[in-house]
Amino acid sequence: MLKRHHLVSAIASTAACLAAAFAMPAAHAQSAPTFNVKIIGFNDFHGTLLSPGNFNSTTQGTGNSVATPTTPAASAVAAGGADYLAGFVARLKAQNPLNAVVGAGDFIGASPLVSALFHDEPTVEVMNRLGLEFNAVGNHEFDKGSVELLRLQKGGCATLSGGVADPNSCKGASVGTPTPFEGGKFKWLSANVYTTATGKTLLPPYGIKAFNGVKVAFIGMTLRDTPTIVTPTGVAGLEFRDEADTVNALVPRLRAQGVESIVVLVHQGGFQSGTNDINGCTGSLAGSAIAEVVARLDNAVDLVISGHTHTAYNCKLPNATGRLVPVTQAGAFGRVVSDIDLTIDPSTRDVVAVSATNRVVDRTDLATTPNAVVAGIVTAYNNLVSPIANTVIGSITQALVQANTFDAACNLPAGDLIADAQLAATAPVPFGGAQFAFMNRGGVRSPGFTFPSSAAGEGDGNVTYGEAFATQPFGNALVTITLTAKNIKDTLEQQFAGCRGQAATATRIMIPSSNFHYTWDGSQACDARIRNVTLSTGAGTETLVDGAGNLPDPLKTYRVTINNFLSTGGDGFSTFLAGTNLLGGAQDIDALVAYLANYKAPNPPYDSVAMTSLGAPRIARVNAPVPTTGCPTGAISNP
Amino acid sequence: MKRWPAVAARLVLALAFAVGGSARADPGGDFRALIEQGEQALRVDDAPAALRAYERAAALRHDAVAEWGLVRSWMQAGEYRRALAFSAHAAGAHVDVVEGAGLYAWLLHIGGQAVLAQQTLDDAARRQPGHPLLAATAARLRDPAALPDPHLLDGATRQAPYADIALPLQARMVSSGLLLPSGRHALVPAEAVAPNAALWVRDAQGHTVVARLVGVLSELGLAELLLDAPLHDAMPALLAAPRDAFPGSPQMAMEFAAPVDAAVTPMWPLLHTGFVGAWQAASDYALGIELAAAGPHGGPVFDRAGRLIGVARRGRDDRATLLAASALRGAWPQSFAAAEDATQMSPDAVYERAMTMVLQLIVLRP
Repeated sequence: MLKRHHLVSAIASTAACLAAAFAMPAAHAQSAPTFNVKIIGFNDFHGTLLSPGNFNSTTQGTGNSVATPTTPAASAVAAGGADYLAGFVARLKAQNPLNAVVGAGDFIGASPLVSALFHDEPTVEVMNRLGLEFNAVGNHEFDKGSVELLRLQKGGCATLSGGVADPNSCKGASVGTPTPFEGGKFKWLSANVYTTATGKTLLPPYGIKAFNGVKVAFIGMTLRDTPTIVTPTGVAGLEFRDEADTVNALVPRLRAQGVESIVVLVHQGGFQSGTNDINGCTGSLAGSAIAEVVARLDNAVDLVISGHTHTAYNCKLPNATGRLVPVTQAGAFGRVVSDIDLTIDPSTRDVVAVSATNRVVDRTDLATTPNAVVAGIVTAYNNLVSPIANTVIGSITQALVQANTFDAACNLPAGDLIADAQLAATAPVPFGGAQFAFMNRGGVRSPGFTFPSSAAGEGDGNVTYGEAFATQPFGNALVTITLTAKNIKDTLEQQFAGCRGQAATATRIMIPSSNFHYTWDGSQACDARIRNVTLSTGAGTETLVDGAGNLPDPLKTYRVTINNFLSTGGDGFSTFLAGTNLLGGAQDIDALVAYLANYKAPNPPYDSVAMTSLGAPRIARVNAPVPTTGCPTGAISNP
Repeated sequence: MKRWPAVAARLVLALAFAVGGSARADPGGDFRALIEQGEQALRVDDAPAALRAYERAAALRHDAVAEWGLVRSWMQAGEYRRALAFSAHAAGAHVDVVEGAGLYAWLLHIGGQAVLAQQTLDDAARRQPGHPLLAATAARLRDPAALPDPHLLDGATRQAPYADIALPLQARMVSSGLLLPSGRHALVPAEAVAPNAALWVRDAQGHTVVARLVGVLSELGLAELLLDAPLHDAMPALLAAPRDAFPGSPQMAMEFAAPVDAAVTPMWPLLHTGFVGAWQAASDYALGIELAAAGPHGGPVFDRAGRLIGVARRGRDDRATLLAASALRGAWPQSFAAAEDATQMSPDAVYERAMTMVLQLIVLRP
């Protein structure tokens, strides 16, 4: 911390002399050249993953251009958004491989729905990908209490009372992170926040990063008055100590580790007077809390990156010795970043010069490439915000299982419901004129339809759109095709491993709608396993395949609904390719929703037992071994 | 080498604070003046000026009033998403002034997030039980079509736009409607247009113009109106799904909800989410959404990609139905374009898109 200052006449003159005083012309006698480290700082992000709007800085020198820092800002530019913020940070980092990305607190809390609904996990995940390394805690980091803050730092899922998994936590797998919730890969720092029970800081007081062998320390703090502006339960069991005293006490400890370059990240700030110039310092933040903190700082501190007041400034304020220390703040909501170059003398390991420029994160700047990964995560979370997911679409009297062990003949209650829904959706002539439907059992995903209420609190027996979507997640479209009776028998014969081109290792028994019944016999040879195929319609019940396996009218045609996966030969059902007069229709999930609407209160719930009791099971099996192992899915068709 | 002579240090400190002190002669006065500037700009529908004033105020002081002003300015500019996002911040950052929670809750509610709106209010009520504005907002959430408490339409958290012109006290809002891309034509339920009545339409930002009946398509149950002045500059053709929606597919319906027999007020429209109901006949479906108010309806309905799938109208037994977009395309082909892009949009984005299309139909009967 070699801070040699020419005093001369600077004190008696004006700001130009103040700048000269800060310039710290070195009189070192070292041989190694100085080098620069780029510090990229911002503050008060508040989970603003989507652009918060135009930035209305109306004055000069806002440094929009990385190449020419004095380029004036447009009076109102579209600014911010996590994707552009990440892209802009990457652009700055590319200028100097010796860099650090840091924050001055309030990155979470008081945040928009896209972050808040998911406990600010999206913001943490985005900051990980932006490359944030150290972040001071701010008062809003304590909005939900220190336990929650520690969870966000360490990872893991939030729970509701009683230990129930919170449905709005750990969405990483569905937004592409892909960990359920990975926690912060950056370090939250809380030098002045102590746990009263242990007498230790809640989180590390500082972080150290080495550049060309020179250590730079980042001390992170929040304002001492945090308990006065946060819900008491949020700060219970914590003590918030004086900011300047905290830093000054750490200086000897850092020096003992060989650290001479010290950056303070503090969630405390001030305001300029009468200007919005993001690189100005009108009024020198006089009377502000941050000015008072800096005025008591040890001379060892080289740079202060501040926050809390949501404004931008680029100041040099006197420390305890009167030396002017750079003090920055970068507005709020990711619209501005502080681009700071530290010049370090390797022989003293100390900072000998600081150059800071606040820059607008301009979304119209073609030189900035938005981060596609971050954009994808934000979009995915935004889609999850939809209130549709927790909307009740119908109700059931008992669980509709998906398990293959349910029935040796391969009936599947969850598949029954889906097949019936698909027939109902496509029976009207404009939608296909279907007479029956087939559902592939592989398209019915676990766990089927559960009876107990989910964590969303919809109530026992109620089925939400989100639950239905979990069972039908593929977004398949329904397709109604025309097949002959012969085609239909061939299709049913193709269900068995090795038959009619079906894979030798897969048996795939489809689920028909409730008006279609058939019997299969796995002990027979290929093409001789299907019999007693009947179809019931308003016109009565007709036989497509009789008890001996013969077709009374092999060329008679039927309208059959399947999904587009099957219609293109999926699951080995090449026989569906013979279908004609294709008519595409609703998505499978739409059909399910429409069907379950008939079983939504005040209507009686869907009763799978009653549905079955209306007739024989849809699928019957004969000559199964005793005991059987259940519905076959593999190479052996008659296990 | 870190010690300056004490006298020099004192000089620097004195200089710095002297400069600051002189420049901050009346920061409170500046702030208040900017807040008043912003409010005045909102009253005269100058959203850019309001934004500038509130931005400058926010740079002087981290204050809830400035942030509420920004929220309302974005609403006046038709930027619902930014308003919603920032109102979340304003409510969360200034928990001691729960009026912000009321504004945030209402913005959530009108955007279809009724559950979260109620949670927001409940959280605020725990902090300040019995607060009259929270109670009034809660009542409005329960019945959005009822006359709101006057306090909700007053002050820095006003839960509505300003109207640009005053209408006769006897005028009534009778339905919602759809503004066509010309900005000069609108579709409204035919049953809502009384013969010889004076007509106005008003949009989500409180802009109001006189309208005249052009014709009625009785088979669709819609009337076409010609506006005396464009409500918006000409817009691109309305993006409609290339084919009619399927029963069970998610949908979002936007409309205004007002008491049947009360003086008209400017308001923000309500978005309702749900699923398309059963197909009934031709281009007619059950709407499948419980709307806030009974009546002829007339507002646009969208799919999850934000594409128009039809308009809501009153069906048999007063139940809302969906008149599919194919019928609209057939009657006004120049106003609609088929949009293949089915990329899902969030409800707030759909709300923002719909703000430019949905209208109040106001009638003064002779």
